[in-house]
Amino acid sequence: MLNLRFSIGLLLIMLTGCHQGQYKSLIPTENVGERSLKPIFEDRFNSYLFKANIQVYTKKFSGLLVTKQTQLGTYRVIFTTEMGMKLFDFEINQKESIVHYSIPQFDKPLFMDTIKKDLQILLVNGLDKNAAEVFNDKSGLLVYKYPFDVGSTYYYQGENLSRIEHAERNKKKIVFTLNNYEDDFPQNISIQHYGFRLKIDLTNLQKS
Amino acid sequence: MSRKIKIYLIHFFILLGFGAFAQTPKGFSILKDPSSLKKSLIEENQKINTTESDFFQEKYLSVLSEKIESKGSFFFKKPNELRWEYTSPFEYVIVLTSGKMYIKNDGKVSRYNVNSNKMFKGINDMMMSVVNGNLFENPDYKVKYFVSSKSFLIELLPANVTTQKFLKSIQMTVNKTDFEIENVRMTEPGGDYTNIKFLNRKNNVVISDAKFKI
Repeated sequence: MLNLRFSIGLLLIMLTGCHQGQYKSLIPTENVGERSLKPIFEDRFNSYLFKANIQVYTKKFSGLLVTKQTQLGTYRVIFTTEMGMKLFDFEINQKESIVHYSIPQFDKPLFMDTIKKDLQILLVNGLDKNAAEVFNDKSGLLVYKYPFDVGSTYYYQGENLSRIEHAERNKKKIVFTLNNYEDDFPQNISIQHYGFRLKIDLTNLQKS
Repeated sequence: MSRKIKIYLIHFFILLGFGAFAQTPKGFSILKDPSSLKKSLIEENQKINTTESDFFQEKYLSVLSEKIESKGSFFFKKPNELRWEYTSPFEYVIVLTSGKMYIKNDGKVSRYNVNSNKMFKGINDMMMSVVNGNLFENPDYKVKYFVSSKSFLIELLPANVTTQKFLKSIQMTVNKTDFEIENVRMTEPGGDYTNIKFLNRKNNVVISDAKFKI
């Protein structure tokens, strides 16, 4: 009985959580001015170090996430524990992603594909720039819409890139929140999935 | 056996020979009789009831031009209480006490039962062995001993195939005068490593019980 009640509760939460057609209120615009989309990881061949908390279902992992641009359009992403043990290491280029290393717990196709997709979106990598549509939302933010995977990704650009949403069939699937900008770089990035219990919180530790 | 195969075999053994030669760490030579070193390590360890030390950790990743540096301190009290604490560039505390492991991350404390989790049991045993100085007695590792003018180097190679997948070796540098571990390096199969250097080590000072509670 408790299970049934819990399931109904969950269903209700899920239903109310789905803002169907929320992207229909976006107004197409051509008045972009100087506010073009500013990806946070620009082509500077820099490395970035984050404290990362990853929650998959009920399991929590914490550690350090390193991103490094190795070539134009190619990034290496490595996750280690605080004590230095490597958990996964992969490479993302514009065409594919290569897993260099992973501990068995992470080496699951669903998890790896999901996390790679998250990073592609965050890195604004491999998107067809010519296919972008530009909108204004209610609060006046510019919204860049790109076709990505089987859905669309919306980049909300104010003074900085503040939010990214990935939607499939007009339902939001992933929400990225980018906060506390310092030197044009967000100190906190949160990635929340809907429909798959995965949450990633990143805190910038240093910029080199 | 054809001449060609013989040549191949000779090459193979020459390469194997070089391989063995290359395995001796730079500046060190093989310590032929490690029995007195083992004895001294055990004797020194018996004199110690508590230890506290700062540490400096460097993570080398071949893709990065710079190492990832972190700092912290550790506190150890016999028989098996340990606080391992990072203070920079993030705050993170691990406390191991009477079969329980506590982790404080971003201000939140999580508790784990060490014996119910293989991975935590492994971490627990390894950390305890490192601070206790008796990792070389662990049957899960094949041990090699080296010596230089200043220090001994104890190299542990995991015997277990599962461990070999993520750990190639642990190298501990031991001071020749006081037999204390100065440095621990854990190397992964791909060559990336974590190096932990111990600084300001103090033995047998009073450590408050509060250090092992979080």
